[in-house]
Amino acid sequence: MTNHIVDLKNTDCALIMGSNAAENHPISMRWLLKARDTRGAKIIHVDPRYTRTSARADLYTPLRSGTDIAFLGGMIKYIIDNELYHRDYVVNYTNASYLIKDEFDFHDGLFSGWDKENKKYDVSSWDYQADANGLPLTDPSLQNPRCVFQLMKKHYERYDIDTVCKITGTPKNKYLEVLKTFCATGAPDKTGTILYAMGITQHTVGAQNIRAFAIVQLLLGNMGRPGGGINALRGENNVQGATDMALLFHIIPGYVDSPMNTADNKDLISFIRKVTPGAAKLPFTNLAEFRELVKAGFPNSGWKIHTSKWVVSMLKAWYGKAATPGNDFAYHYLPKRDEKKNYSHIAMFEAMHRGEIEGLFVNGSNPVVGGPNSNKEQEALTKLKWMVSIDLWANETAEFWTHQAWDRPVKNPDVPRMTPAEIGTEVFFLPAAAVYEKEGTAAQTGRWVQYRWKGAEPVGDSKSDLWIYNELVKKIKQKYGASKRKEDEPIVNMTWDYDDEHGHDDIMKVALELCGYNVADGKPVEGFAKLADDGSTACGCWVYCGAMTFKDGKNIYKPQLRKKDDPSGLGIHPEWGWAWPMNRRIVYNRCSVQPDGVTPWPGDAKRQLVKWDPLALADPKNPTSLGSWVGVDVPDFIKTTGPDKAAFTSPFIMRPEGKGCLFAAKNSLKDGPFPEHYEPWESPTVNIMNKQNLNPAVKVWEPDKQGTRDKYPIIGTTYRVVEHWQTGALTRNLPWLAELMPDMMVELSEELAKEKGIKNGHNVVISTSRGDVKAVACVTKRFKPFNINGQYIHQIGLLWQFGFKGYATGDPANRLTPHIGDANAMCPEYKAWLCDIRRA
Amino acid sequence: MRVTRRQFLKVTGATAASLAVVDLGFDMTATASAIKGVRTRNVTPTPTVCPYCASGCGLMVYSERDAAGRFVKLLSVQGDPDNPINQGGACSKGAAMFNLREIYEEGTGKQVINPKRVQKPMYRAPGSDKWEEKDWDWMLDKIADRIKETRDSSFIHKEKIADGSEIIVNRTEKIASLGGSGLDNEEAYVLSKMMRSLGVVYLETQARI
Amino acid sequence: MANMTNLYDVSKCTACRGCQVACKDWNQLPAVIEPFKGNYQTHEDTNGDTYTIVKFLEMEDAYSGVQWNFIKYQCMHCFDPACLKVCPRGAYTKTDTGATVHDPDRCIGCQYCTYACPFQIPKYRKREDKVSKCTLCADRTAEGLQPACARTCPTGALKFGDREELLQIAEERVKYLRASGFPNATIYGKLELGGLNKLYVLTDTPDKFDLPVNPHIPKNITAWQNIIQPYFGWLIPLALAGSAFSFVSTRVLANKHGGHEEGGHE
Repeated sequence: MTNHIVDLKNTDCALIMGSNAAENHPISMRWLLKARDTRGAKIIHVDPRYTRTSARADLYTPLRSGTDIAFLGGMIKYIIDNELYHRDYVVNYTNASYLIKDEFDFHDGLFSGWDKENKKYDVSSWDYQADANGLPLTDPSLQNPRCVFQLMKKHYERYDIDTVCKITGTPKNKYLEVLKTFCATGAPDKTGTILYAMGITQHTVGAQNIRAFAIVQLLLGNMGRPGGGINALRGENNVQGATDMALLFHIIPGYVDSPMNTADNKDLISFIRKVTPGAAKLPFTNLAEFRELVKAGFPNSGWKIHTSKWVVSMLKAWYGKAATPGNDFAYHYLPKRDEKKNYSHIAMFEAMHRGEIEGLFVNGSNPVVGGPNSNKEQEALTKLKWMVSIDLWANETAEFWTHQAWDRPVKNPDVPRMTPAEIGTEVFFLPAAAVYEKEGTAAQTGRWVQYRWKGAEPVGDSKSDLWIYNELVKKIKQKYGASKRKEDEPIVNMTWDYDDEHGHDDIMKVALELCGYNVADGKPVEGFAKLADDGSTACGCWVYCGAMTFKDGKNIYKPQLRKKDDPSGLGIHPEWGWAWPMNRRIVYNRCSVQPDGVTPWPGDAKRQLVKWDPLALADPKNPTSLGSWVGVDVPDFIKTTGPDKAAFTSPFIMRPEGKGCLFAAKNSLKDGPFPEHYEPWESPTVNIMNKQNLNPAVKVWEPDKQGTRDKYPIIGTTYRVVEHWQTGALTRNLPWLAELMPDMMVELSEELAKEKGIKNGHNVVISTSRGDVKAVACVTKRFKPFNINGQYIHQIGLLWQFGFKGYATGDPANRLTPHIGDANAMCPEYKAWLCDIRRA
Repeated sequence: MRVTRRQFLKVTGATAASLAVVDLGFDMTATASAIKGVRTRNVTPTPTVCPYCASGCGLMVYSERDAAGRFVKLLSVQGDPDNPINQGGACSKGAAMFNLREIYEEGTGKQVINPKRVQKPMYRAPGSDKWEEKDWDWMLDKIADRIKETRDSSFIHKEKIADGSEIIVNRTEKIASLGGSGLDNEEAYVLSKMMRSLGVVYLETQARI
Repeated sequence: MANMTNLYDVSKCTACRGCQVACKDWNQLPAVIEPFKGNYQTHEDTNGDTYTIVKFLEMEDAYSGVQWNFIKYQCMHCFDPACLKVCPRGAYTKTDTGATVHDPDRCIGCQYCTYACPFQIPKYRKREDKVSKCTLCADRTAEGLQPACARTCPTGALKFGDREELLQIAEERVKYLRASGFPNATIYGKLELGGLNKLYVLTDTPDKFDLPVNPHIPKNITAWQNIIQPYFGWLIPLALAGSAFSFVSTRVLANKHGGHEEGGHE
């Protein structure tokens, strides 16, 4: 979330799209309903199916799964055509005025630079025109035909209301009502929020769906302001934290690209040059020279100019004394992934299925239920030599080798069936303590990091995950002993000192390393601006720097703060826990004030978060440091950037150009600088917006498994219910939740039920080209057939939260879903595929 | 533990547990005598955060403690009234947190540890159709062996790259790690550090899917 | 002593069923797992180990399109409770804050109350051979705590407090709803059966929420009560032996043969 949960109370309009907020993030409705009661806010829900969220919305409209860009593209056109955009905001805070290279173009569903042979784009034309100094050319009048605004207008000309509704199946009158209601937040005194979840991301165009949100919100001037923003309702209690810690192949902690096996990654200097925006052509050969350049500042860099400090501090935290200026701070210890390979979830299981992986750690995860194409993923597990599963329960993945795990509702020659005797995988199950049987912090969806204290003892011999990893690494280190082999150095020299004086793991020791300390005295580093790239600071993850502070002779871990005051009345609660970065509760909050830095947006003084105060001291200890950004929220801006600096009106400090990107320049995305509608991989229709059916930049893993309309005429999608969580391991094992949603079910319209002779409560079988599942039919008025360009098309929805373990059991819906993912994030297309349904 | 019993009473509305005179403005002492099994006294509240969706609702774990403050028994888990995100609210999942550890048995109503919780490390040998209970030391030792065997036999230390030069890549593609979004930050951090130092590049969490 | 009650506003309920689980957590009730029958409302009715349920009602008309109504259903804590009237052992009492509380130590499991209740709330709990139902968390409220259901409600659909004050809030809310696209919005529990110690704000008429439009206690119940009351000391063994059975079976048959009116349902 760019904003946070409590901030929803400040909105004038909420567009909930690709999210069933009331069911999957119930507390969000507390604040949305409050906004409705106190501000007259409107709640809009756009979803293929009428849900518990729709029931509380002011306006509900259906759309066919996988057509969000058509829906939002039409909204972009509507905003431009009716001049509903927030002009001052757009001109000053976005790249609307930037001129784009003449080579950039778009034809027949392809952007310029398409490399047909390699099926990818050369992105060099997706760039700004620059002057002699490398600075972008702009036209603040927005009239130049090569400016982003005009190119965008041209791009979305095709997205007229009739065409959009033919694609999405949305009733025209409802669509117009949504456009009118949400786009009214373009008024300077209004803000609107967008809430989304996996209904947006789990598509072959997932990242571009979110880009479309970004364009809408930037045009309406809704970013960086209370009640606005693009708010990803994340699904796991600490998925934010796990991402911050880079439990993902493509990054290292703090969102720095992970190194690869290429020349520009071969040593620390090459790496810094590559990951620091604007540094590519600068003349430096060592960190000392680079440091001087950073001090002076260089163009097109943004806040990431400091990347070297984050990387070196991380290496110092990981490798301690072995990380020295003389050995690149042990940069070479880091694994370099193969540039040509993808290591994401789908790729991992494809490789495992080919027998390329020997050992797998499953850390509180359950791919046999939750992985796409789970028949295949389950089969992949049988090819492992060993597997370690750490969980509270022996879930479906931990028990993939049992007889039960291979039960299928129908005989299908394409679906493997195995017996325990045939499965050679050695399985280690380590029982983990539950959340309140241990302690530690979690970052919630609005980036608030909160402490969880220990309220009960772990059950039996179960242990906290920290204990498990701590003891395991001690064992591994023991096995490697004092090995002198070069390849063992990363293990032998890895710092691992988390025990207290009694030999128990000490979470505060981990926290200090994670948040950063000064190497000289071991005291916390008070904020990432104080990190250095000379080895004097160590910090595991720079975005958490500042969460630990030294006060009154001891370390204070700010996520433990429990002061609930809210001086601004905007729900900021600055001393409740801690939010990254630097306790900013609403990011890009520079946008909450006019470009002059002082005047609130007309009629919106109450929602101004920060301002430029020429008389405030930037450094309280330095009386000459006059002029600073101040406010009720921590300014998401460099405090000392005053009106004399060009960056004064550049609120998006992580971007090289400092502006919100209507046009995603260069290599921001792999599939185009503007979102374009493409059909899902398995679609019941053809793309009428352009000549490409599928997003051309997507990797097709299993071309032979593409279901077609003749055999599988119905759109299938998956989702969750409030009563269960993710794969259900943590809820189907709880009797009180099992009783509320006891069986695997599929929802279908009354019309489809009639066609198929299915009655409410019947057992049915749903099939795709990848497998079959059994479910109980829930025949409902809340699903309706779509009229798609004149065709009558059905959609059904399945809970994906069931498996064969627990108090509530049923078939995993993911036995049906495809191994295909988004072009950028590789997030699987769980949400739109083709199937058929029949009575069991 | 940062929250005292006194704070708990304050946040949940009672000024003093033994008096039952409360800030609702009514003395309901008379009512209390008619009720059996009062569970509102001598409890220790511990704040935590819900492990389900990422909204971050605060929860209070109420437990019985002995004189030395040691955990005796789990009583109830409810929304944390102080937490500004949920102000005491909890949906069905959050409200069911007691079941994460303990349940009331169907048929008897008896409070028991959730029988689905695994209480001992378990090992499944290749080709076997059953689990065997093992102790922690045996398990961790075996896992460390497997990691070392696989890593050492598959480790790529240096690689020749496109420009003909050699670079240190320090990776293994034969070990993979999945998950971690349910971990605490501190746990996710040490997992990330451990995996990367082992050379693991197949490193993924639920954020991807 | 004022009546303390819950106000439940359907226009704020998302049917998350936190109340249903919090009730089990506080009252130490085991799960009763039944198969899914095609409706989210897994339990068709409350039972001996389930004091409160949320009902899910799907409807559709040309004007409003699809609607999905949710309603929390539990003991209404009637001002003049039929259960209390018919109980031969005086197991039911009314607390001075208006809760109708059932004392299991006095209960003999005869189940008269389960048939007398116009809302069919008291339920037989086989594992103890006794009846059970919602207590309005009298043990919690006595200690100054809100009932578990009100405490847990994430959206504020459930509020606990002084009935008079809540009634005022309800009146205001109904006015607001009527002006905001719900012309049939109404309060339930204000006057029904002479007043219930549970208040509802409904966005539509009570029948759209499966609530009895005009609940009443059947006359024969009170008549039975007048006969049995003076003699219950010696009548109980007899009642258990035969009368109760015939009484109960008559009621069951009456219900089976469309006896909704007698049962208090519309």
